[in-house]
Amino acid sequence: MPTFLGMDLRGHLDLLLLSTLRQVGPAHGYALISGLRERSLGALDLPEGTVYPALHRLEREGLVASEWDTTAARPRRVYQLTTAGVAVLAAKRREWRAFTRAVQAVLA
Amino acid sequence: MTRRTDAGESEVERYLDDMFDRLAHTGGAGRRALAETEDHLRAAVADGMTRGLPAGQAEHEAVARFGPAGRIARQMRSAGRGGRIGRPVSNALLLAGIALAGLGVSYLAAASGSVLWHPDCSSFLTQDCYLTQTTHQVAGTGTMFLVLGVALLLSRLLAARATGLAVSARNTALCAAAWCALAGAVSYADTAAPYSGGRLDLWWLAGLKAPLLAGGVTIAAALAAAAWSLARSHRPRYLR
Repeated sequence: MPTFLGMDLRGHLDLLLLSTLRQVGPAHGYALISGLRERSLGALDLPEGTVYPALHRLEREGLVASEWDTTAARPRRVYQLTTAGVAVLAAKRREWRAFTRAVQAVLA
Repeated sequence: MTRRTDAGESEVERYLDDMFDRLAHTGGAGRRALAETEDHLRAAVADGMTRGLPAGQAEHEAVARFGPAGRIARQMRSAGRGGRIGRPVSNALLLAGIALAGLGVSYLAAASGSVLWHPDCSSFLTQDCYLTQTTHQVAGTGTMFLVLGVALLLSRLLAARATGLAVSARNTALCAAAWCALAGAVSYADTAAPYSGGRLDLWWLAGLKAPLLAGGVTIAAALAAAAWSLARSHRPRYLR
């Protein structure tokens, strides 16, 4: 399972992937993972293979769409956010902010 | 530093071979997952070499960063359509299919044995021979079970292809081992039973009244299937 400082990241992986896709635009898996690593300053260094099942699940749920890009040397699957994905991302962001505010309040 | 086998396979190729095995029978979903995995690993290797790593080390790093093939393939199968419902259905079809096919084969073996051991009643057309009638019934029941079992196994395979849910080779081996061991034990018990004319009165398992040899063969098959299953769960070559 993807972890960060020993914490299970599975519950947050959807938010991280949707958010990265929103920021980098249509991207294939490798670029998406690189983007996630760079944006977290190397802290979110997931086992890279775990991202693809998550992307497949998000696609099944209609939050991302994908298609083969055959213009590259090797055919690549390119992912992008759907309208539903944008809406879910906004909702998940709100939830995350509320959650971190609550945790901050407790820790303070 | 290169990490190539005598056959000239690179670490990435071995990893992809392993992933291919683990995604067997997943149809289009598996092909796509494999293509994405290959693309990712090739890109990661190229990236590593751009950073100055030797080819072998770049491959090792790419594979290590991607994660163990068994775990990733399991997650990819789970991400496939119908994962939550499909898995128990798939396992139920597997158990029922192997059980019915096994029963069918044992019934047919018992019927064949009866014909061979009682040449006087070897013709199914001799309707006045009680044994022949019994043999005929056993053979008919065996054929029905065998056809039903094979149909269930085929439907599982087709369903797996349609839904992208992988057939687990390990589950297949374990199910086959369990059922073969059970059939073998019943066969032995039936043959060695000291009462009921030397046989248990398992009329509902008439087909399992097979000779001692059948019990030995099925138990040997069970041991082989279990060994194969265990061998598949060992650490993959590319991580050694």
